[in-house]
Amino acid sequence: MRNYQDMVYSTAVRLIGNETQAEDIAQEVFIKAHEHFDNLRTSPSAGGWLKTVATNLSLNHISRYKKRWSFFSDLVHRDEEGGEKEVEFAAPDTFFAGVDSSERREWIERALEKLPDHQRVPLVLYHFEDMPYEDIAKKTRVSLSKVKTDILRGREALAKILVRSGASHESFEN
Amino acid sequence: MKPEMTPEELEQFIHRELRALPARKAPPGFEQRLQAAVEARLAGRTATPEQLEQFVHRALRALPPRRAPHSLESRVLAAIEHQAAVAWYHKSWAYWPAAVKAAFLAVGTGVSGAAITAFYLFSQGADPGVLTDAAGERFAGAAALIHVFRWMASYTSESFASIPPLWLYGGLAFIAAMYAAFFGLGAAAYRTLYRNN
Repeated sequence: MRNYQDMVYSTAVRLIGNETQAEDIAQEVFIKAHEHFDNLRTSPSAGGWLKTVATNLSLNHISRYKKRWSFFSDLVHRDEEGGEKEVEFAAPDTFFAGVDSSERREWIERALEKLPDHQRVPLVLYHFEDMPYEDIAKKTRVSLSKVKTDILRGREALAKILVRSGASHESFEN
Repeated sequence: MKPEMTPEELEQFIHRELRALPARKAPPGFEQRLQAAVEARLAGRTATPEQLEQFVHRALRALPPRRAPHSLESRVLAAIEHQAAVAWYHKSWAYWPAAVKAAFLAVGTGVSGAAITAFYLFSQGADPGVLTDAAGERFAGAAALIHVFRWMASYTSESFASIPPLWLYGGLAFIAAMYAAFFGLGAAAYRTLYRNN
């Protein structure tokens, strides 16, 4: 369990964006792993199994939460739907080359947490899980164009937060 | 310039002299250098979606796994121990022993079959008294249970029959209205107090 707990927790916390809920999900993953211990003990793909279960449980958790509150809150941002637009994003003028790397990582994690669910989830699935757009659309049960738009908006928002916090020390030309 | 000037006259004199100066010529090559600087700034400030994707991808993939809380391991072990200590009949169907599952399926199938048969016979106009007597003879051990069911059925039907229909439907409408009102109030409170913050 010690070998995989960071990986499982990371998967959950980056998808859910909440540390307490991510710990609950990680606990659930390891209880499931305990139930399948005989199969997993000798399996070389135990890590992959744990990651998949963590991803699926996190997505189930998010969709359950979304359904519960969908009546109360307008989760669909109509102004964000539609086709792709040109990205108008200002690259940093000054780079914080002296920023401590652990501090920089902390900034990026916090910036990721700040993104709304509908941007963070597809962004994490795309960049961390290497999932193609089509699979993300199926998993999150939204249209392909919405997934692409949400990921693009998520990247823009993330980059803006990073630049604002001074976490970026590389330029786009690199 | 007059030798004695008031401060106001001095101000006007200096102002006139300065404003009368012609515009200074820019040094040679200034225009080209300015144009190049503006273009470089514009190119550096706008990222294409591909550049943005690569930038975000690099930033995210450079992240190490997040450290799981120290409490996670102890929580998992405690949950597993707790689960092992819980009796099977307090757990979900998946955890029931195979023999109990088989017995449950057999009993469930029997009860369902009996219910469907009884419904069919009643719909065909069979006498309930004859049927319950026949069932009582066949399942002598369950006679007390059948008696209890019969008493419950008659008590419920008598209770409902004694309530005027207007009160019954009015009560149901009141419950539905209260449910809708509280649901609406909850939604309004959420939108006002929570979402707007």
